[in-house]
Amino acid sequence: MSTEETEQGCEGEKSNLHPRSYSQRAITYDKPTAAIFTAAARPSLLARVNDWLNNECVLGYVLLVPALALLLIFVAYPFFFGTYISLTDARIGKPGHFIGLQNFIDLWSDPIFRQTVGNSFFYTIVTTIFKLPLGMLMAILLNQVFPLKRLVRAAVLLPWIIPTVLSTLAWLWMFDSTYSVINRILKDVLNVQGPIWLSDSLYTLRTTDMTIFRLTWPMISISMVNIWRGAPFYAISFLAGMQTIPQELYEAAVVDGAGAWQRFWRITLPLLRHVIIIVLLLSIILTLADFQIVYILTRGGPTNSTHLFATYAFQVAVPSTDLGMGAAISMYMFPVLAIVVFLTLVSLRRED
Amino acid sequence: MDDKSNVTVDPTSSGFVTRREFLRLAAMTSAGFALAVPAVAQTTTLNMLQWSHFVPEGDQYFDKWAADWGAKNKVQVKVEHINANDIPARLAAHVQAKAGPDIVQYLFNWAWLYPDATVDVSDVADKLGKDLGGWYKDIETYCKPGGTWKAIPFSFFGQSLTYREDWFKENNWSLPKTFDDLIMLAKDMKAKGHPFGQALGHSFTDPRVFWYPWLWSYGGKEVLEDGKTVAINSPETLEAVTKAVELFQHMVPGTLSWDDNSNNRAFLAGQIGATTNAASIYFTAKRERTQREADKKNNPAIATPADINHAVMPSGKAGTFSLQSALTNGIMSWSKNVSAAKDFLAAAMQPDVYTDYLNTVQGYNVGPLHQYDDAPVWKSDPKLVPYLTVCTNGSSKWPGWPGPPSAASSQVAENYIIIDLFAKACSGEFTPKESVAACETALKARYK
Repeated sequence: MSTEETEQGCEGEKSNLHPRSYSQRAITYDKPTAAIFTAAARPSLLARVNDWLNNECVLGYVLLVPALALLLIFVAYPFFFGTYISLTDARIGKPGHFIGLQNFIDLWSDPIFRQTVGNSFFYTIVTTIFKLPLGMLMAILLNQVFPLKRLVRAAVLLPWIIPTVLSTLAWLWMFDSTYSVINRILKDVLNVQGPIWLSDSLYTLRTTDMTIFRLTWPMISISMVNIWRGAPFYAISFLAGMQTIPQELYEAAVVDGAGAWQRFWRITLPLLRHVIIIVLLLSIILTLADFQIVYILTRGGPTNSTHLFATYAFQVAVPSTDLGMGAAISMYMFPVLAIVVFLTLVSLRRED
Repeated sequence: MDDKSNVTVDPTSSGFVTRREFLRLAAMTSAGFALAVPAVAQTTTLNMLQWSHFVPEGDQYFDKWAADWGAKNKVQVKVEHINANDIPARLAAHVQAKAGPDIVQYLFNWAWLYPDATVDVSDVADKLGKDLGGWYKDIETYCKPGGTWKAIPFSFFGQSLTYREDWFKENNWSLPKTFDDLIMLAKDMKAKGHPFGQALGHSFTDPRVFWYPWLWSYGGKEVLEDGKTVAINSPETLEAVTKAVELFQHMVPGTLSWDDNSNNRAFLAGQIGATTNAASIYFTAKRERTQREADKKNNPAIATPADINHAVMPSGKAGTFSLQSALTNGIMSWSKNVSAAKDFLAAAMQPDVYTDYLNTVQGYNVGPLHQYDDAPVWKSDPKLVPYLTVCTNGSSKWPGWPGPPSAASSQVAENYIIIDLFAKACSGEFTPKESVAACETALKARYK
């Protein structure tokens, strides 16, 4: 019994190492061993699957399958299906015909789409300009030692953690044309009449026969909410980065007589560079593709003047039933994002 | 024995193999889950998607009646209520997936947007029309894309000028006969601190029921009678837009972002003196009567039911027009219980149920069948009568008028192209002339 077990154990191990030379090697064994071996070579299905999974090469791929399947189903399939739909004139409830790049061409003569492109860049660039320094400032402050440090750090993250739809609904009420609490405070404390946040125009630049640029309070409102929500993400990421910077560097700098500004400029910033680039990358992707803030606050209005790629794609594809055109609008985001990702990765690599 | 030996652990490093065993088990288990076919319970149910009524008692009444009807007929009826502005997206998703509720409540002319998504209901609609005094013409056109009944009308919710009678008396204002009168009135109202307010945003009812009639009253039309030739670029439209900008300057600020709830809030808070709306403002004031009467002692701007009255829409030089919001119900083509759905919708329109329902919603809904023109609710409160009059006086048209309703006119309405014709000029983004030109381009893209 004990010999059999040992032999089988050895055999099992060997077959693992050389599964392909299995039958050839079987010939070299003496009779009793070969008999046992043949019995093991024709095991039940379960046992064979088991044996197969014992191969690390196979098991590795098997374990990868769930992740790959998720990626295929939820990322690759929608992407390729979206690409296909954008090349058709599909409408809701009706299959489309292949029309090549017609949707993409038609979009350029759609004034709402042109404004949407402008809005998306305005929204992304302006909010990033505010979020980056604000996040940095918050990170520096949070990196100091002060009472209730942990509590404050957690609280700062709240705007990022709360479901965006819920917090944006609260903002919707704060911007309400009748009951705006912001305007109430402006009136009572500063005696200033606040704007109608989701409606008023602030500045229009126009020639005699066309409008070149408009800055409206609705665009400012959605940007404000985005900055409020996004800055904590910058802050916490920067804070995490700062805590990995060795304290000795600062101590050495102090000994050399470096001031606070020099320490930040010469030590903190260069060593945070990687973090800053990655945070910027993530933030730009999320901001350019934002949907929730705009959809809750303005639904793209008034007069379709606050649409971003995602909200306009949704409006065209779903309520207006033009699926092909809607897909084309969201596909326009792809080259933009691809360029951003490429530039970021290049700048990261150059660093190395 | 053989099986066991094959699962036997690797004697050289048992710790490693234990972990591998675990992983292998995990891999096999997840494969098993993926293969397992979920069992689905089969019961006869009728799912219905509809809006959240502006009068909550209306939903309560309907849901209870639906449950009772279901119990009697051995059908499980489930009614889901969502924000009316969210129904178009939900409906689109259901149509695309060819799955979802058995009955979807339509607003205005949606039956024309997806004529293939609903079943033919001519049998029920014709019988109801014959039994109960005939359908109103405008609601019938909403439901008959291509001449076939594709939805069963449920009700109008009438649209009238809702105004503060106390302020009108105080300032000797008279009710506007024409939209030009309304501009003059709005100017004075703003001067006295009780401005007029009307939504210019993208919302399903209030912007449409005001600005479509405004366009028609000045003689503007999106298309000719053929329903194909875009006719928006006319001196009449230009006048309508120019006048709209004038009215906008006298309105309460912020209406570009207003939705259907905004004017209710502004009116009830005493911020505005008049607006075009369904009866929901009055109804809310009645529900909160005690509180409002108490609050009014401290803040005279608060609207109590006694302060509120209604009037029919003003006219224009081209005639008297209105757009009455219509609720209709489509039985979806994917439904497995079409006959139960037909019975259900037919039962809802019967006098014993419907009269009761009209009483419950107290004049918010208006019957789509002439039998209900004499419903007791219209004798209960004279302030509600304008809501019936706007439906019975024949002023009501449909988006796309004077052409027939069409998929194109429904898309124009769903994209708020006519609303933006006015809104873009009012916001200062475009001059009236540019706005008309932009609207023409947008219309031509739909009516191609």
